[in-house]
Amino acid sequence: MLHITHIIQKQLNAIMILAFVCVATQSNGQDTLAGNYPLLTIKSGNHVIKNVVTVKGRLDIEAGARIELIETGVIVCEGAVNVKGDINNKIEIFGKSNLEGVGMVIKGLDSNSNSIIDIKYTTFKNLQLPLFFDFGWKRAGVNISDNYFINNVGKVSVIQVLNPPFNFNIDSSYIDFKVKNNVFTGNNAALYFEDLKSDHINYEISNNTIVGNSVYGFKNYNISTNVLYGRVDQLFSRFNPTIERNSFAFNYLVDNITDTVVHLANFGVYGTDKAIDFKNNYLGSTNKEAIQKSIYDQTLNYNAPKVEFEPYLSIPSENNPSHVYEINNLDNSYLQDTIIIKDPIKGLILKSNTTLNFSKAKFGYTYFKDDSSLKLVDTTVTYDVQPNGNSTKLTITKNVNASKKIGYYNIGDIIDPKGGFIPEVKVGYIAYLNDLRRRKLIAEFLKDKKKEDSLKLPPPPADSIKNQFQKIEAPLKSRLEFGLYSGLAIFNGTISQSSLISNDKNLFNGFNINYTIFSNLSASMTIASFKLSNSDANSNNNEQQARGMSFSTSMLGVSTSINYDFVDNRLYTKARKIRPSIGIGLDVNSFSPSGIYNGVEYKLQPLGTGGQLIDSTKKAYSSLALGYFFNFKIKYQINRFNSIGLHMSIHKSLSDYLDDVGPDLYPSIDKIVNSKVENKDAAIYFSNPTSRNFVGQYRNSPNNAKDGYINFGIFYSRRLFK
Amino acid sequence: MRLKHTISLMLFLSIIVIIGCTKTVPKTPLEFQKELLAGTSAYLNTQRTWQLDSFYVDGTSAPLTALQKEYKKTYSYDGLYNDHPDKNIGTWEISTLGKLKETITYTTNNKKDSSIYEIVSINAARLKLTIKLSNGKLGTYSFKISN
Repeated sequence: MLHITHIIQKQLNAIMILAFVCVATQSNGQDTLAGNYPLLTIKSGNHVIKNVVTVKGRLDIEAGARIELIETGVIVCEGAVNVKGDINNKIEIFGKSNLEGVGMVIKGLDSNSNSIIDIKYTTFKNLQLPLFFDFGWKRAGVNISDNYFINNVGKVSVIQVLNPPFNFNIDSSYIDFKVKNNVFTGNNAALYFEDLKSDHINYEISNNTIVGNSVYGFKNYNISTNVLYGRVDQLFSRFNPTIERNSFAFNYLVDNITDTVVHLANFGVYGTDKAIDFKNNYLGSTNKEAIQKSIYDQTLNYNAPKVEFEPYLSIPSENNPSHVYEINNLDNSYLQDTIIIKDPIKGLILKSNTTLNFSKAKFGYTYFKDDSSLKLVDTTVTYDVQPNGNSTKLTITKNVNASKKIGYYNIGDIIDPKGGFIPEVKVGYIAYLNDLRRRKLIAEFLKDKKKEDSLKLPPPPADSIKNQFQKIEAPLKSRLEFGLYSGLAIFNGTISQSSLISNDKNLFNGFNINYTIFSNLSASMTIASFKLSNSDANSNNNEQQARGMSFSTSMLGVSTSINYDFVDNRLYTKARKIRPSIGIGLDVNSFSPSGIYNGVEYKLQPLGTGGQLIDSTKKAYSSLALGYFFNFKIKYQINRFNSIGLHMSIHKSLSDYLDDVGPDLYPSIDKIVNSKVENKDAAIYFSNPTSRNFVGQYRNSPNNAKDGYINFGIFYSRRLFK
Repeated sequence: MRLKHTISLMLFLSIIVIIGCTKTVPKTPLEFQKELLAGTSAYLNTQRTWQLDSFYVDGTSAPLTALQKEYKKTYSYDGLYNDHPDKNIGTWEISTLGKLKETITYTTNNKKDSSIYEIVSINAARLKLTIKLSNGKLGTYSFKISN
């Protein structure tokens, strides 16, 4: 019974784990959308769009859906659009950071004449063009309400509405186009309506919060460099737009080139009509002159309609989405948006259209570290919050920036009483951008100056890392240096012992030509003549002693190497007389091992001591050997032309027969006796000098060493030409 | 300073030349013959054993018995001698090139005897000795190495 319970428990556990994995996969998984859809419903959860998604019929996006648009990712809607989030479960359509997608495009004439565009409780964030009503579009109605358009990066438009088809004139129907209760903040572009006054579209743009946007353009303030703009033509007479109870604040034209604030930029209009109603909006100030500066109309351009903005609201409506519309000093005096903050302020009073919740707010202060660099210090401000209805006093309790450099304050993550998003508040940001521009210019100037100076400067110091392998502008002959080398050569291979110094030492002589390639790189060629010899009798290894072999060979070698010179070889200074270098290279050596038998010297290769001449499958080894080596030199520069030094090189041969003893089995004496080898006595002796019974063993045992040698000694070198 | 450099350079060169040009003295034919016969005294090369391979009387081959084919002479580098299977012991010496003198004591009768062989040829693997036999004929013994 206990056993059965245990099994059931185990199975239940497995099912639980499986269910958990499924749920986790479901919750973290994301759906990639692509291609054409007759109808499309995007459900709650994560979705990715990397290309064009075209919906021929109705598009439904359910509350809780998060749609990421990447690069060319765009949703093209040719039918009804029903994007409805909930107040507590919004829809998010957002661009991937640094690979921002486009947005939604409404196009074409829907075959269903009753279809509408309804977008509610949706956040459009980090997109290039969040909503675009393409030329020739037509639907029964449009309702864009209670949405957030935040930090969209595109510099064309946030919402762009082009006209319906031309033949629409003969149609008495019209489009009700409502843009209500939305928040537009932190965007880089405007809301553009091709014809605000129209016979086909009845616009109602009301109760929106349009604050803290930067409309990118050039230094000249014009119609299109306002956060809301469009045409008002006499041609149309049917529908005047209703633009009222909106709140405009902190919207600026920002220069594309310098990234600095140029002008206030709330509303711009053009066209042939005489005037347009723009009444009952809050326009960022209570001062008429200040308001007028934020509007592009007949006042600036005689050909443009006049914007009738009076009466304007002195404070935004409480029905608008919550936002801060005015920033005051602690004494309630108006804090100019152009304020230069060098000294930390003591506090702020923020005026908003509703009460605000600062419980999660982040109050930051960013300032420059010094006078001219781009280094910034980001700090978090500690402060007290004293709410007073729609006015909130923030008292800063701890000041920073003792260095009195320009900075700005930034208050984010404020929420409304229902937890809704509140646009960020910035203080001193215009002056900060101006100073940032100044510093960028300085940085660019210094960079150019440095570049210019570096061209005029003499070559950097000899030991500079940047100076490694610099080209040398000098004639060929002055790059040559000739040297005489002498020293000792020690064989290191089969017939040698591990203690290098105990091996035979023979005289080594060579002639060297060195060619300077770069400042720290040279190539050299050495022709060397030397002898190598050794005997197993010198060994302290018993096995080698018992083997009893010995050899002697004259070597004639040509070596080429490439050397890294630690000191710039173009310069001669008394401070740098000692000049080390290291290098690697290749050898070609001619060799001919010999041995003495009964007082007579015999060349060993023709004797076939490894059985090469008694076995038809073998042949005598080549007396030319390739090899490689590593060398090290220390040169002492006596004067500009002469130098002496020490050299050492470690060579490895690709031949195993420098000492005549290669990886061959001991040959049969009888076969040697019966072979055509001349000097059979010598051949027998050299093949196995101690006549030991080594049948089946290799001659180069016991250490099986590869052949090589070491040369070291002194050299004298001289440059013959200046 | 320059003089100091020159002296150092000359000194260094001299050392190299002296070390580099040092030559080993070659063995005399007599020494070499002894080493071929009995080894060099190096490790595992202190003695050599030669097995009888053929026997000629006045140039005529005399067939070897099975026992004779097992006959071996062992010469040690220090001058000692023994043979197998007779187990005679003694000494050997080559005081003149090509003359091998053996002084042995016969185990059977404890009698000492001395004989001088002519080394006709010797190499690392073969040894040929001749001696005047008691009947006045020339005996030629051919051995092969049997280490």
